[in-house]
Amino acid sequence: MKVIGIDIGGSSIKAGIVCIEKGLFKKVYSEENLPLRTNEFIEIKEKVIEICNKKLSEGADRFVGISTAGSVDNTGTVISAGNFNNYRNVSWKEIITKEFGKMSVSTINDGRASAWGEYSVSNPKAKTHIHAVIGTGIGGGVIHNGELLQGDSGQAGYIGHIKITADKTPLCSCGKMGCVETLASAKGILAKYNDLGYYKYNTFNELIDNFNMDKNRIINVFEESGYWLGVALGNVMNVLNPQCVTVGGGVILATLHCTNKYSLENNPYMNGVERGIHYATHRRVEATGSVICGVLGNNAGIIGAANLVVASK
Amino acid sequence: MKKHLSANVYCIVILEKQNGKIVYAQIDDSGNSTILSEEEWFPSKYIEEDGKRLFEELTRIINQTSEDKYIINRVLVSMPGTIINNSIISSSSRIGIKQSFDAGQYLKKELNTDVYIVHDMDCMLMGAFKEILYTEATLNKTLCYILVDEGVGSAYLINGMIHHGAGIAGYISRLVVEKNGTYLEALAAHGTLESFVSRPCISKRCIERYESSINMRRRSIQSESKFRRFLKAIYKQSSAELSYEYIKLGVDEEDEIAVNVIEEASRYLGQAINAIITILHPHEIVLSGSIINIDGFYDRTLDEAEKLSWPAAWNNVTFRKSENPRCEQLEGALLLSSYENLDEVL
Repeated sequence: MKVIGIDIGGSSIKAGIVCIEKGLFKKVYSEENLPLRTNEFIEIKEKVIEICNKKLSEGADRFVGISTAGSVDNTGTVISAGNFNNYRNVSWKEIITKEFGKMSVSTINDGRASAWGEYSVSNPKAKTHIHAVIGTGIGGGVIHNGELLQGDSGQAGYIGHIKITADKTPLCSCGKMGCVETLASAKGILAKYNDLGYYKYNTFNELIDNFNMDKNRIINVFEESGYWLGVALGNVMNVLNPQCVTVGGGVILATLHCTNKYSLENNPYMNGVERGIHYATHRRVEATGSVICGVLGNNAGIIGAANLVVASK
Repeated sequence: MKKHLSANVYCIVILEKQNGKIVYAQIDDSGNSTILSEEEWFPSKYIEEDGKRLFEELTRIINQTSEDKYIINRVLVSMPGTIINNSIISSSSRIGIKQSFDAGQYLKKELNTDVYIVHDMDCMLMGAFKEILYTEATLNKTLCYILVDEGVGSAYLINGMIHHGAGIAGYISRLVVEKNGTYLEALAAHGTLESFVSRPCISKRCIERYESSINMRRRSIQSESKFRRFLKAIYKQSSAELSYEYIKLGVDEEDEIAVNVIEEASRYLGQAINAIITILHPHEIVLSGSIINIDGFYDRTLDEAEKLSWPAAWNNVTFRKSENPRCEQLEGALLLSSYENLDEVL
């Protein structure tokens, strides 16, 4: 099957055609990454329709898996995506079927989509698997006994909103303070570095592009941010004692790339994560779970969403 | 005269350091239980670091009882600690066992019957939700039980099954809630939830605050209260502790130290509840234990948790207070005992 996979992120929309044979992921092709110029829903809608049009003309089947920033309920309705204007109470199934006729459409929160992607591709035997996605925000998902844990009304696994400090932090997209997302996401890293007062950048990508201008300080900021994520993951591990924890998303890829550390060893962000987990986790819990980088890179969301729409048919 | 085997007599051992209980019950084919007899058991003098003497004594008691009255179909020991494969006690700081001991295997061999060592939280969880188990109310739902008493623990039912993860899920005592907090040796960490909300740690914090106020030569306006008089009497004794009754007294007398320590405890427990809601988004959370019953603690904890939680998650979680955790523990243990294949459940 050739499934259209779409990943609506905080600053861009990734898409591709995901080949799935007998329920197993094979490959992704026709990949594209469309930056968002505004934070208006209307732009997102136009781009999603444009993507579906293009992928259908390239031979994709009438299946669309959408991974999206924001919270999604059990019916697949996007309740709200805090970073965007007017992106609330949206049913992508309604929008896409209105435009293209009968289509199978599944919508899921991007953290959960990535979690499902990483779990189904690299760790399908784990009884409990946690995945954290570090991008503009922090998302994640919990897989338990082969199923995505949704929670009572679809709100389980929003790891980014675990409170890890009573200190004042920037306001989170959920409206509260103290969330790990405010300290360990791309936004948090950027804010922390800008607060140091040496250079000031407008976006995380700018910071990464200028990595060599202030390498040591940026590495320290990566490590401290990773540490806070590790503390939050430690909380998750103490509660659930998972066999496996994976960490992925744009920030991980960026820190791997700009530090030229294409492995976990001495990657500053992941070093911080490990240190935070060691600090926050019961010894036995830490010993019974492994923490690794995700293997799907930027495609985790589209692969997970595509897998899910096939599984739900 | 021996009971007929089909009567299914089960022995439940509620193991606590100071006062435990040994209960004998019949469980019929439908899972209904009838308690035949129960006796209090005070095991503290048998406790050594490896636990063997404790279980030798337990074996002696059970053998003596069953020889005279019952044929025991199964023994279930419900206890706190780190339990592996429902047999090995890795450690139990509340009981005082510090070395690993395969109590399950020992009892199986000595008693020649089926034996399970089960975490007390699992029993309480099953007892608290037994009315709705195997109904639609548990399908696709997560149910949570949190105990705040001598220690702090939690247990979860996810889609009707007890969640153990890789073996020891539910260690909320170890959640780091205050990065610069007190070091707790039992958990080898700073600022853990347990160091703020368990009874022994609340006691320790009250005594430390009192000592600090003495050292600062602060004149207390509450020096005549019963709670303050008791603090004054014990603060120099290294092993003295405040019981739950005295902590409650301090709050009831609106003693500044007791009130502040309990308010802190409710704040940090609220933070932990927020973490559970964020991770699991459970349908229902039961709060249990003596500390929960201190006046105002339950409501304050929920207020703190609500302040931290985002509305979409908070609005769909139901909370209730446990009426009697020990009763729930026994009921849950009886329920678990009634399963033919307990390994599938645990």
